[in-house]
Amino acid sequence: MQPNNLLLRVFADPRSVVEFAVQHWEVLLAQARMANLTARLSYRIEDAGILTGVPGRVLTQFVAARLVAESGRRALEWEVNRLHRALTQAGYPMLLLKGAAYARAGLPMARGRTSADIDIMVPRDRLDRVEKQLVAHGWEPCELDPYDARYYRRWSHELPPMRHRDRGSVLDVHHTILPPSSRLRPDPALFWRSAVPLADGSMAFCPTHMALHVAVHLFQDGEIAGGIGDLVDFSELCRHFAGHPDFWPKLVPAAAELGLTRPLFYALRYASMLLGASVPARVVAEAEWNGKPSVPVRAAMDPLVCRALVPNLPEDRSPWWQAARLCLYIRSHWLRMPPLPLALHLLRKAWARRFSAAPAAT
Amino acid sequence: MHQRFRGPGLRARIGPFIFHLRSPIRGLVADFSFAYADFPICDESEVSDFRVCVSSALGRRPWRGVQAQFWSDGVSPLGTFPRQLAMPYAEWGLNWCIYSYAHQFLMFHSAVVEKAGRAALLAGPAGSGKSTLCVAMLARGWRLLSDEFALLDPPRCRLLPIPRPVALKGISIQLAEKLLPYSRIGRVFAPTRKGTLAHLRPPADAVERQAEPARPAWVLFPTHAENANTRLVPLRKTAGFLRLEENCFNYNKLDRTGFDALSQLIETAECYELPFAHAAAASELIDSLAERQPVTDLPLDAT
Repeated sequence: MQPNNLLLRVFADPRSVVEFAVQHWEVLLAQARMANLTARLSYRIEDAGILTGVPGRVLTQFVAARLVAESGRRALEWEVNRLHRALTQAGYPMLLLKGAAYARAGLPMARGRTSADIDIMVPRDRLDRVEKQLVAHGWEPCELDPYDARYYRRWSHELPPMRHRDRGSVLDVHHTILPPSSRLRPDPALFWRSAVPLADGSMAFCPTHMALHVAVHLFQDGEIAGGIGDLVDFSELCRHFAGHPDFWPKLVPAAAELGLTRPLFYALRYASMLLGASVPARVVAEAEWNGKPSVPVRAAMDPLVCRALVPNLPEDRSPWWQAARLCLYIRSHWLRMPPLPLALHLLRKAWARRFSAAPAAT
Repeated sequence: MHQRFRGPGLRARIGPFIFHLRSPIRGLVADFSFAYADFPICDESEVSDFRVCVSSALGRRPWRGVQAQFWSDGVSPLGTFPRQLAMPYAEWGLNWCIYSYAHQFLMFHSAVVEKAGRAALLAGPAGSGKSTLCVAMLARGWRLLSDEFALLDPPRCRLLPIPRPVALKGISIQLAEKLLPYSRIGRVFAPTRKGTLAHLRPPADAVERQAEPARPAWVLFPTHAENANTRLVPLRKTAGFLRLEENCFNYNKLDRTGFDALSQLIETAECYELPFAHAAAASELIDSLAERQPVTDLPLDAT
């Protein structure tokens, strides 16, 4: 079932690049660029101690990608600093999510990681006041067409994205990790209760919740297609926290408490299948017991995920790949909304896509 | 060459980069091969920097004619475009590749020409007359380093040549025909969103010496206006720094490296504004700069 994808192969086993010919490197670099994982790939190879064997031109591309990632990291740290001033210091508690949390917690996986926006979580009952506070500090709600704006307010677990007036950075303010209409509804209070403080006074999810959040983001909320970066996040979190005595024993119970065993099952399954993550047998058994889908669902998911998750160069894109992406796109919405609003939403989106203006060339 | 281009792809060494190029579109292959005729083709012993494919595409509006699409490593940054305009779009696509990924260099939106090892940057946004002035400098025997990008190698503070075809717009096409009678100019494309456009094949000598870097000596900010009083207006170093930073693609990405490299460039170079009405008169002024002995000939490692 393992797709023949060099990017996956190298993330699973960086030493495999030792045998690479020029053509292999080119495919690997192209896939990494597509998935925006070039800099992380370079750290994976460096950590395996084989960066010296990499061809010169590849090394140059790694250097360039790292420079971009580092500048993104600096900008991210500064945004977090500004958010502190706007929220934490004004008495509004704030949880850093995803990239911002990895960076502020100083996790090794934050090296080379790039993110397009910053995600934070605030308590739902403070959402309105937080929004006003952010507006007062220069973040402005992005202009959306009225339909999308209504969609966000009605169906989403976050405010419409906000963009900073001067810096142009994009901020996503969540009040929970899944849409309120979703099939799964984890209680956000549990996240707040076990949140851990970081060095600078901000807060982040505890390690198990961090891993669960990635799993949910990828397999419950997201479209899976092109989500290789999230799966790498999950696998690196597991690898990093595997040393903590609490991490593996608490993972499945925490998922059960939040009702998130299904996405956890998928994340563990595909992280070990595609990225060679080593998951203790007991945890696998526990996750299977709690979150294993029925046989037909599993039979359908394996080929879909393995096809759609990986970055595919245009010449390798088959109708099956297209179909897999479409199925997963519909699935992601199916999990998010009741059937009738879903059907209307998809129709409307398809209509908009068909008849909107072609993207302007830049 | 045409067959490789249309089949398995062709590896061309263009400045410091190796592009792997593929396209089934005959017109593009002809235009591209004409403009890039002198560039060396490499074998498969080195990893390419960019893998580019210009393919036919199904447009959203088929009644507007046959469309094409530019791909680089699975990303299609330009959307679809009419197939007969594939050459200009391919050139913009190559620009996109460079400024999106080549952050090992500090990159400026600038033409660069060189004489006796010293280079002049003609920096400015589109429409400031860079290419026109560039052609006039070539007519005076300067070497073409680049028409679009100044690539500064930070540790050595040297400008690396990337002598791709000069994109001539509007009246500068006639100017190039007049000033460079032996030059080869490709098809004229019209209309694009930048008006008429043609590509000047870079002089063979510039391509032959594309591995030979140059020392930045002058930073010029040309602005073209019909009624301008053509002159060189000296700029203070600080003003030059800020003006050049505005024309830099990745200054903020390079952090301290970018600041140090830009400072060093500005330290070694003289900065001028250059309002001009006629390229010939402006190029004479630049030539006169090169006639003078360098005012400060600091060793590059001095701080």
